[in-house]
Amino acid sequence: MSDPLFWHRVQFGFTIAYHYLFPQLTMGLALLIVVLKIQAVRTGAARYADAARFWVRVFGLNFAMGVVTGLPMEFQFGTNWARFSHFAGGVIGQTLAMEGIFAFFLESSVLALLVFGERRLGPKRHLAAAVALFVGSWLSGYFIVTTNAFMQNPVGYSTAPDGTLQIADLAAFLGNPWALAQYAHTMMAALVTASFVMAAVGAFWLLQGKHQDAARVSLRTGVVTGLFSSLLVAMPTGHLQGQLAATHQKVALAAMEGRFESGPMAPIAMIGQPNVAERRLDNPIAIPGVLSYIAYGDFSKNVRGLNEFPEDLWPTNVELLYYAFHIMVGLIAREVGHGPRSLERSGVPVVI
Amino acid sequence: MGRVRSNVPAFPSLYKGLATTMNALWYAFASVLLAGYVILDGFDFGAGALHLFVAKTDRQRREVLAAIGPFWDGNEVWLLAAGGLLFLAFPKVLGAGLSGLYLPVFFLLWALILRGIAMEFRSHVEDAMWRGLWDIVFSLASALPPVLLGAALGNLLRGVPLDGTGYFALPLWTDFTARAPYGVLDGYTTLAGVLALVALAHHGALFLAWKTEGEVHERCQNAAARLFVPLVALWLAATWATYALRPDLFENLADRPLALVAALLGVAGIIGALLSRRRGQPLLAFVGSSAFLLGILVATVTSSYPVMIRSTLDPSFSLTALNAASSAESLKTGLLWWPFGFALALAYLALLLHIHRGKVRSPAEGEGY
Repeated sequence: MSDPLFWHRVQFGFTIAYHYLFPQLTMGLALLIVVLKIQAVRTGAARYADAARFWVRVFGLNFAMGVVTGLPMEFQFGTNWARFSHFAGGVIGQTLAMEGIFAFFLESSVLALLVFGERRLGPKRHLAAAVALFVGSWLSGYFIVTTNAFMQNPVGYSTAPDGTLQIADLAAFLGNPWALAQYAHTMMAALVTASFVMAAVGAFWLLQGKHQDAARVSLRTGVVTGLFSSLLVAMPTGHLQGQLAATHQKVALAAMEGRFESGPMAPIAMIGQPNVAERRLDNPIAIPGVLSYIAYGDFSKNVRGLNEFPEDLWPTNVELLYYAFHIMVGLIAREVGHGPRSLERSGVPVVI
Repeated sequence: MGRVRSNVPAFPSLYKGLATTMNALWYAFASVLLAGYVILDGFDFGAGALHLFVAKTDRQRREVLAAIGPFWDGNEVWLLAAGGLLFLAFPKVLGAGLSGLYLPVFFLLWALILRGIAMEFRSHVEDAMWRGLWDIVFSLASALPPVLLGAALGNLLRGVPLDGTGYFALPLWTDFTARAPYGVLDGYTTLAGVLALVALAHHGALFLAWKTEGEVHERCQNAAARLFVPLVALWLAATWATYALRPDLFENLADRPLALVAALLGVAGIIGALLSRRRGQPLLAFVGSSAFLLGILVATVTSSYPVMIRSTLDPSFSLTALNAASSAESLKTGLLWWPFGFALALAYLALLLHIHRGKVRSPAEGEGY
């Protein structure tokens, strides 16, 4: 606790987690707003335009929160991680600067058009503005994911004479395989969030008996995209991430699964508590071979455990990583499980 | 790396010249983004700081918000983009500057967060107390950033105790003299901060006078008129104080024609702002004020070049565009895409100004801000 590093991590961790709540929602909403606007133009029905107008306002509010909470994040690279910035700025500065110049300028300008310009633009150009907003927000996602992907799996760099990192191959850096998988996974997760928010607000209105038409549109759109994105966030995008972790970050994979012993036919733990002091997983319920299959596509493959690695390579908090990962997977399984029933109850015709 | 080096040996001085040009170019890009940020976010800071006085009723306040509403978010992106650019081109400056000015930077961030929230939240609830509270928050949080940004520039000009490690730390204030032990706020930097506040309040009043009609327009014209004399007085005082503290900056002027041209642009701008306002041409007056801000900022950064953060301990510890930059390879790669992206950003701004041309009306309840 007296270690300043701990507090720097707490502060930055809070900033980044709190900031991310907003872009997570707005990136997903950007796509859903395009879906609503397309239907509005195609059918000419007022309920789609009404729903879109409401969600643009929600987008605007959350985008503003994203900008003002994002500034501290960028500034904390300087205030809290000055040496890291100096060391890696030549490489990850590329994507951080690209994000501002290619994505945020576009996003903030077209958002103003969407919020203030519906009458001046007319339906088709207003739809075009919605598409531009979607492009801008998904671009910003790519740049920031690429920045993080470099920190997970550094590619396309070389070392400058003064010992800092410099960009050597921009295309390789931007096309980092880790970034591609992480981006697909992240954007699907953003869509999950936005879908659930949209469906929940729509359902709440229906129960309250308010804005019935726009509510039904929001609920149906949210439930359908929610089910699809919940499936896609697991398969194939989450799976691809898992395979990359198995190749590039064996220690992190072992910690995520609470795996201490190495061996073939590695099981996946459905339940269990990692006991780091005794180096074992307490009270596990596990399915044999599945982790080997997920990691390497072969039930019999060896998956290395934490015991094989020196402790200073372990994540600082194995338990936190293990539980956070398992809760995430559990929640998605639950969402997918509820999908068909939600579809039925929101009035979407399904055959089960 | 390899590619650059292999071309070098035959013409080492030419290579050095090219490398210096590239660093100067990135220094110019950073200056353009920061000056653009001051001019653009500056008008909504000014409008925010003044809106309690120039807009008295709820309708009028929403008129002010409607005038800056389409722009403020995009204006703030200039700061984000400048941060990104410093990260890419001058990471040492970003690291040392922001960690050294840790507390004021966080005050700035809090103010920016609060004013964003205030603008977004106020009109969603129809309640006089709720809106009144956010209006006061918006006003205070709009007045603070100019003071902090001005003081920050003052710190860079006066110098900070950068040591051989390339880092520094400063208390918020010490004894308010511009001598060691230094504080973030002293007589000189506070003067710079107050000048920035008055200059941007004047700038914001002219923007609102351009965008509004009726009572708000009249009050903004009056506010700009009342702020003009203090602005000129503070500007002259700050220029004199800078001369007393850093005569070397003014000695540079002779062999830096750009700085001289910029200073003249600043003078022409402020005179133009005065004349146009009196003649009832608010757009021209706003352009004049923008030229004034651009002129004095460009003159400052041009005469400071290449120093970015000046060390008071030893000139060789100063962080400059030459010794604090990323490697040549990183700068060269950035050159491939940055100018293109910046041109796009300018095009969006032009489009936005075009679509939202003309005077604003107070939006209906439930629309706009």
